[in-house]
Amino acid sequence: MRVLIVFLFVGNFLFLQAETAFVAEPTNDIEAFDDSFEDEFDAPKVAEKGFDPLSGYNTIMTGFNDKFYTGLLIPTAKGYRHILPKEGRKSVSNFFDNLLFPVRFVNNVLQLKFQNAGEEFARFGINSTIGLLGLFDPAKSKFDLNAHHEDFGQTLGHYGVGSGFHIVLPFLGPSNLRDTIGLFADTTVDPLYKYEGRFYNITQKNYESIALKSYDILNDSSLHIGEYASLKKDALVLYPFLRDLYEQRRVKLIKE
Amino acid sequence: MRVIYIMLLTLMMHMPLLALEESAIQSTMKTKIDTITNLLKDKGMDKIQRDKQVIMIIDPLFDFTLMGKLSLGKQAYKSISPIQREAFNTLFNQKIKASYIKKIDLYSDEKVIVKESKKVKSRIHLVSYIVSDGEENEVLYKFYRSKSRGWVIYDVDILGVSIIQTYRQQFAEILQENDFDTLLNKLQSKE
Repeated sequence: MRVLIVFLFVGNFLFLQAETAFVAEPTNDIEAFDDSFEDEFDAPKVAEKGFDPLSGYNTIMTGFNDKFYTGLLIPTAKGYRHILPKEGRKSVSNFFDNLLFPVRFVNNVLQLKFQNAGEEFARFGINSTIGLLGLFDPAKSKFDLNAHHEDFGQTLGHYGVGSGFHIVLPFLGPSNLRDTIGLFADTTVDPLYKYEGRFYNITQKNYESIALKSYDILNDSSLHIGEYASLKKDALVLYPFLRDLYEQRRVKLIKE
Repeated sequence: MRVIYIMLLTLMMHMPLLALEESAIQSTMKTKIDTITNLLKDKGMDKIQRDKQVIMIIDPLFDFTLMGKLSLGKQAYKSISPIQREAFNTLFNQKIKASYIKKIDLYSDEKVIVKESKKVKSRIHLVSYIVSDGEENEVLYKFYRSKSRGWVIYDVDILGVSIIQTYRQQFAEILQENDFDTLLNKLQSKE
């Protein structure tokens, strides 16, 4: 007990010292601005207005999407959460993920990431069979095979194609010119979209694709309740905030 | 017994205020993160009390003043009055802590792995992962060596998104069309 008190005393004493030490700092260098930090971050992009030619439309579409998420998608997902337990929703999510295998495989190959492509191939084989049509993910839990998400937007970025201007897509949210083109390109291998002359087609009609995609999105949202609201709290102005988040995230994904 | 526990806890919170050494970054961060996850797992705990303790644990790790400075950018930071600067520092500090608390509210049994620290020029980057449903989400803590406080965090990249970069862009966007007091109001109203 005595030792403890000595400890506490010493601890508090040091605490006081440390406190006085760093109170002094800001007053000393309030004018000083370390340029090595300044160079570490990009200059804000607003200087070139041309960089965001769709900003007017994008702001409106961000507002629309926001209303759609908070007013319809998230409340529906909350209700849906009560119908299907988490394990079930996780399985639905696995199922859709497994179906997206062609997109990941093709784009890994296009980026010459053959090892990742091989891993994806093995995952698809294992999860479609032992994993009961992709409902479960034994490839990860039993064989430690990881998914390697790649899309055509990333493939373009990998080969140096710039992002182009930012576009907010209805319902789907932030994107840019490159990734929107990528999105369309990916539908040619995505089994959820019908594409003539391909040997696998799950859907025959457009509305079937849309229905399945919507369900996928709803199911995913139910696994991430609260995240959008929490994220939104950090935004001072919603559109530039989400735009920036998206663009930074994509740069990171392309680098990986 | 409870008293001793509380005393030890306070002691532990004070300790890291001693300048953090380079070699101790990884282990200190690991201990702190574990302490926080344990607090979050304790569902019976009063939320206000819990948040207070979490803030006490993270506070000495971050240089919030520098973070605010960097978010504002050199030009804007130099152009404002000392009173505005003071107000900004206080509001930014509150804002970033509130945002952190909001994020940990979403915690549900995720595991946090502190992986490695890398030296990047004069900085240290600590790579950690939040594992959620088998998916690894990267969180990168960036440390610099402050003269008086040792190694402290000046930015965090979550899934490749830098907190500072994101604030910089937003602040610049606001200041392009409004004066500084509008920015202060925006920081305040979003509490």
